[in-house]
Amino acid sequence: MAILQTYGLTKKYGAKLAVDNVNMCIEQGDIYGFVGENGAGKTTIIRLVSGLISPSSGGFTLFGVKNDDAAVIAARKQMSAVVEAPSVYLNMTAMDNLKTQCKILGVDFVSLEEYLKKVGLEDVISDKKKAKNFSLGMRQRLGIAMALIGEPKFIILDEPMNGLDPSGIVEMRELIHRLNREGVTFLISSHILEELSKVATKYGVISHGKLIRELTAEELHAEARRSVELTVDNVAGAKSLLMQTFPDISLEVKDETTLAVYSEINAGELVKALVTGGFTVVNVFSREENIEEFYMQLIGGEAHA
Amino acid sequence: MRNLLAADFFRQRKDILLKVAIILIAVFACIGCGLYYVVSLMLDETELAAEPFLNARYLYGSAFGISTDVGMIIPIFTGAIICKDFSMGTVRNKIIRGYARDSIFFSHLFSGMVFGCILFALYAAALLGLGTLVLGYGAEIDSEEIKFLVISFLAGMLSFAAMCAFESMIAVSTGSLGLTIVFYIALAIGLQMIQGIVSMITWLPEIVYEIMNYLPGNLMYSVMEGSKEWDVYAKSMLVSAVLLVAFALIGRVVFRKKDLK
Repeated sequence: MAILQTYGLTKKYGAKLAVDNVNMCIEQGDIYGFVGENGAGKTTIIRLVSGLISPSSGGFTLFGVKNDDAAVIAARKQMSAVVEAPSVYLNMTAMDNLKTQCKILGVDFVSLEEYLKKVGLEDVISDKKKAKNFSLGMRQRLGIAMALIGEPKFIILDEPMNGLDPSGIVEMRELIHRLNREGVTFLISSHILEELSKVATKYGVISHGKLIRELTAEELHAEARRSVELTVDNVAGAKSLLMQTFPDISLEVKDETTLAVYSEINAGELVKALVTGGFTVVNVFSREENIEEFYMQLIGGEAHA
Repeated sequence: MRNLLAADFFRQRKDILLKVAIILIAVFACIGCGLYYVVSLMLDETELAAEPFLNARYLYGSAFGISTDVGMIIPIFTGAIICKDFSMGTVRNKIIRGYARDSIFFSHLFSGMVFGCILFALYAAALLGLGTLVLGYGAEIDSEEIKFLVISFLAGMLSFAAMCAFESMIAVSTGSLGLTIVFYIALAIGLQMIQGIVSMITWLPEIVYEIMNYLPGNLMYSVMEGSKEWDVYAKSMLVSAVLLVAFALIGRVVFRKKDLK
């Protein structure tokens, strides 16, 4: 079942197209990683889905309800979101913020401490410190704790790793995995692609308002280029020799000592050719392109298209 | 809507603004009564008997001004309470969690009006109570006088409610606390200036003078005089009610269409 499906979703600000004809689909159980440069349109799409702004054209269905149907407001009761700055009352303590959220959702003040523990804020359970005195990371955690109240089935997190320390990032990742196992679907936008790749099961790559690719983690793995990386004493000479020896070779100079070969050529043959040519091969290893490199390749391709 | 109201009232109770506003109102009420009491001490009995202003009823009337000291303070605090959710961006959370914009707007409007009216009621009651204690009420308290107190009080509540509706309208339009307060001050002072200008012009249609006479700020003069012309209060309440509905409807339309950052 599609939790969120957009069709031709478009948002214009004056003459500027912030979101351009986006068709994306988030299935139940997905952890959908939203990838794109600053200003690509990720947050605008999140705002559109959250009801904070209206589409200029196109639309979406949320839990099967169309965005122009009045029932979409009720459908939103099954979701929550932390969009950019968390919606936290700065003049209140963490506990009072959770209580306010309970009042908004009409739920009892039950196990509120558990929500704070889930996001690693157990230290402020009985603290009188106001949220205005929290660090950015603590506010982010509190915003996420508030988003968890009411047991939403779909959670949107816009840059959830912002302001978190390394242990906070690990805890956040574990929390996302745990909730996902319990059946919660996620849409997560993040520019920390390496971190995103540790949780996402599906990706949407957006650039200049357009969704340029949507693929599962398995598809990404299958499509990611594999390379043989060679550390040599003379990169320029080695490159020239390999290009003469293997005319169809696809290679790239990574730095002053490393060459990456993307062609399906046996690593032994590459080493043999280099050694025969008088070069010293210090190291050889094979590796798979990560999400960052895949993204850069995709964006680069798009930019040059 | 009930949940939203419960959340708004919870937020108000937790907000330091409520405590600060109550303290300020108490201080202003004490200062007002104290000054009148000092003046009364300076007068001999004959002068005091001839003086129609040194009594609790006159002091009570001063609570009805929308551009006087506390008349300004109450809407500034009310505006801050209403506007916080919009200026801090916390209103987004209510939309995301499945509330209609109309429900959100009207819950803010209603809770803001309750906040403003409670502050007004506290100030009016403090002036009346303290004033009666130190200066005497200033008139015989019979059924007509009680009717005057009740009707003027209701008219005062409605005029402050209309001002709260104006602030809600500006809060949703601008999302800025500062602008909401600036617009309120401009309205309160502007209305008095317009009224002064209109009163100097003789050729305007009668309805314009009628409306000017019954704008929220003018109620103060009738109450201070202890006027028992009930139609004045009725017309004043009607003008306040029309303003309240107009501001609320404009605010609702603006908020429905507004893109939230």
